[in-house]
Amino acid sequence: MSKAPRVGVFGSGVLLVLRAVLGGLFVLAAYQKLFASPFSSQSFYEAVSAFKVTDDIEQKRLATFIIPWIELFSGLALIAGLWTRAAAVVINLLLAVFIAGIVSVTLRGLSVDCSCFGNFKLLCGNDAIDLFKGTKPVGWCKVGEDAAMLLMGAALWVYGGGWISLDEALAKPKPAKASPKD
Amino acid sequence: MGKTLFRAILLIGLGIGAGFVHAQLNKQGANPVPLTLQNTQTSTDTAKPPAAGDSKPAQSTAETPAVQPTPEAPKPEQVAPTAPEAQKPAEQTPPPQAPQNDMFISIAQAKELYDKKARGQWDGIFIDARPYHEFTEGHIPGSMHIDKKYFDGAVPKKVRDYLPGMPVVIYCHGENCTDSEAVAARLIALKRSIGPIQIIKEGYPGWTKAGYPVDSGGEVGFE
Repeated sequence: MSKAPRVGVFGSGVLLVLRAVLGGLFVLAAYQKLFASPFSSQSFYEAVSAFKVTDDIEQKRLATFIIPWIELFSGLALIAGLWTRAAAVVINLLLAVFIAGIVSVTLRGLSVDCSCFGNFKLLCGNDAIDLFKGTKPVGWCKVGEDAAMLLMGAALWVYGGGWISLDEALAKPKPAKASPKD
Repeated sequence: MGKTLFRAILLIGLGIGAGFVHAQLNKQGANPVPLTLQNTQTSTDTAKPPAAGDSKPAQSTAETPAVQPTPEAPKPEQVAPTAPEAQKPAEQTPPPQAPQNDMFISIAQAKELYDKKARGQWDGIFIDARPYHEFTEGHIPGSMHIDKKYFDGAVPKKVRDYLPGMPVVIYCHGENCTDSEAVAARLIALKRSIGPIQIIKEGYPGWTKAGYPVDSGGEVGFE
């Protein structure tokens, strides 16, 4: 795992799509939690509180602001293909924490609205999608949704950003092999 | 792997730093998180008589007429006694309202407002803060539906059109539900002169348990 395996043109295209989708989702999530409305942060604070991990108001406040900013930086890095593998690691860590939290509240029978994407529902609880209509915003459906993103993140962690990325553009050019005549 | 780990830690550190700064800036902003109800005395002023020796008027702000007493609001002596204290001798009776969470009212007080509204003596609005599908299954007749998600965008049209200057009574699932407080905090933060704001402590379950009238379907009169 020390170095990302090389991928071809098709593979780089797939990685670009994965980066755009996963990074875009995390940037969207961060925007919805921080800037979408005057009460975006308040809504996320209430969601954090609903998980009942801590009663400390200051800790919940810090989580309310720190989580979205980490999402934003990681999402932007993924989209740009800069530090792709590191960003994928961070996003996978976040997703692992989210999944653990969702499993915990689901097993505890708590009714929580995670405000993961603000008012926007990706799949779970999205009434516009028949398959997921009426599902709880936070429940096993959400675990599946996050697990799917985790797989995308894992692929980016393993393969990196591919050719179409800032990582590739900024990579040091390999020194040309000396010709036998020299 | 070492480089990747270092960069990952750096990304997390950037997020922590930016989040920390944002959290500090937010404290001084217009809507500091968490929003609280402490800047209102709403129902205190509408339902609680001044305490003995309290010569000062209630503190008020220009933006929150919620602190203004309204003659239509229920007086403690007008509502049915619901607590054992109501049967104690007068000299031993503590102030009828709890010292905290003064904006909470009982089902009996809410019913009194409902009856006054029916008689045209109170022009306030009941607000159902539960999810919309629960609202359509049953709600206090004449209620407006506004859950906290309505505020995750521009100021809702209903709030702009119907609520400024109006007393409101908010309810949700009852004592374990915080949605009423969440909506109340947002209405206060909007600074649109909405109020007094009161919350039915026992919520919609208490209302139905008391056998009071309910309605189903969508909103009426708030298009």
